[in-house]
Amino acid sequence: MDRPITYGLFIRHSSMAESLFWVMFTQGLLTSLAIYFLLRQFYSSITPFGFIGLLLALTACTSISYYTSFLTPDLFTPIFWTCLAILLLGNLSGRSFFWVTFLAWFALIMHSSTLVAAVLFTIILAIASLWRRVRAVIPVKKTVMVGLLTLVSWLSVMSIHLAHNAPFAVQQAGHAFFLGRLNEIGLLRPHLQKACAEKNYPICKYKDEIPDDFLWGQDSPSRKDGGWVAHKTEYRDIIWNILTTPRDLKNFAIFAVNGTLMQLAYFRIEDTGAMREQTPPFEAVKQYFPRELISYKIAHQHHRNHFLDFSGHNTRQQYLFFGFILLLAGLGHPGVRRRMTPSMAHLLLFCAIALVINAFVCSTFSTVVSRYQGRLLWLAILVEFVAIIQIGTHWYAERKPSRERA
Amino acid sequence: MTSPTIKWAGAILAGGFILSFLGLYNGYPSFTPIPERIFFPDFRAKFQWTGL
Repeated sequence: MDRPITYGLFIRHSSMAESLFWVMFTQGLLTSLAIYFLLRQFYSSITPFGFIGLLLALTACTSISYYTSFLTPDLFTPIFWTCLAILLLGNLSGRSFFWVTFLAWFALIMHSSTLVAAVLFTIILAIASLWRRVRAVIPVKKTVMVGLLTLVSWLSVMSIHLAHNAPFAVQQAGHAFFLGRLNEIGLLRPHLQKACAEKNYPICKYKDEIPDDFLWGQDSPSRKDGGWVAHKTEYRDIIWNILTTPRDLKNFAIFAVNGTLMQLAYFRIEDTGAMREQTPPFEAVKQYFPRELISYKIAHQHHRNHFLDFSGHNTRQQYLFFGFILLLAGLGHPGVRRRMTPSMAHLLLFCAIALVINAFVCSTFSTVVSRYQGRLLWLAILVEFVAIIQIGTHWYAERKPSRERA
Repeated sequence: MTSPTIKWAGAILAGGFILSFLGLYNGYPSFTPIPERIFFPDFRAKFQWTGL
C-alpha cells in the first residue's frame, strides 16, 4: 500500500543525517521495547537474561531480525499489534500505559496498511462487544480507547501531510494499488472492455495492453500517462463501478477470501535484489550519506558475490507457524487450557485475529507478497514460545510432587 | 548491586542490538525493492525528503 511521509521523517531523524545504521539500531530498540512491555505483562517472572534468550531464539527462528534491519516501515506493524494486545488484554499502570499508548500511536502512523487494519479491528471489536463474554475480557472503555487511538492516528498522518504541503489525506495512491489488485484478480480488463464502450476514460487508450504488473510495470498505463495521482478520480470511478456490479463484486469477494488464505501462509523471507548505480537507494546514499557509500557497495545485498541465504530461517519459521496452529487448536483441549493462564489463551487468539486481519487488508487492497505477513508472524511465534514455557512449567510443577512421593 | 531498572535497560538495549543481526550480517541495512518511496515518500514529487 502507499506509504505516508512519516517513515521518511523517521529515517531523517533516527539517522541524525549521519548514518543509516542508526535507523536500523533504533528499529531494533523499538522492537525490543515493545517485546519488553509484552513480556512484563504476560510473563512477569521473566528475567533480563530470559528476555535476551527469547530474543536470540526469535532472531534464530523467525524473520524478526530481517524486518528490523530493513529500511521499510514493515517493522512497525507488529509493534502496533504488540502494543494493542497489551492495551486490550494487559493491566497497565499509569506510566506504562502512557508509553505503550505512545508506542502504539507511533507505530500506527508509520504505515497505511496498519491504519486500515486498525479501523477494521475497531469495527470488529465494537461488534464483538455486543456479547457479554467479550465484554468480560475487553471492557467497552478499552474498545473506545482503541477507536480513539485509531482516529487520532489517522488525523495525525493527515495533519503531518498537510504540514508538508500535501493534501489532508492519508494516502494519495491507494486507488492505484487497489486497481492494481483488481487487475491481478482478473476483473479490470473485462470491465474496461465493457465500460470503454460508454465512458471515455483516459485508460481506455490502453485497454488492450494492460500489463500484468499494473503498478510497477514499465508499460503500465499510469506510468505512460502522468502517474498514479493524476488518475485519482478516474481510477476511483472504475473501482466504484466494479464493486457495484453484482457479478464483479461476487468475484471480488471470492478472491478476497482466497487472497486472505494465500497471504496467511505466505510469509517466507525472500532474497533482496541488488540496488546498483542509478537506482534510487544507491543515489540517495551517495547524496545523503556519501561516507557510507563504500559500506553500501560491499554489503551482501549490493555485490551479490554470495547470496543472503534465508532457507534455514524459513524452515524453522514454517514449523513454528505449524506449532502455533496446533497450539490454537489445543485451546479446545482442557488439558492444554488449564495449564495456561486465561490471559495467555486470549493472547494466542488475539495473535490469530491480528494475522487474519493483516492478511485480509494486505491481500484485498494491495497484493499478496511474503513481506506483508512475514513482518507480523514473529509476534505469534513469540507468544507461542511463552505459552509453551507456561504449559511446560505447569506440567513440571504438577509432576514434581508425584516424583517426590515415588 | 545493579538495580533491576539498569539491568532491564541493558537487556532492552542488548535486545535491540541482537535484533539488528541480519542487517549487520548483510554489512549494511537492507533496502526494499521499491526504496524510492522511503527516501521520497511520494516519489511523484509531492514530497521531498526535507531537512538534510
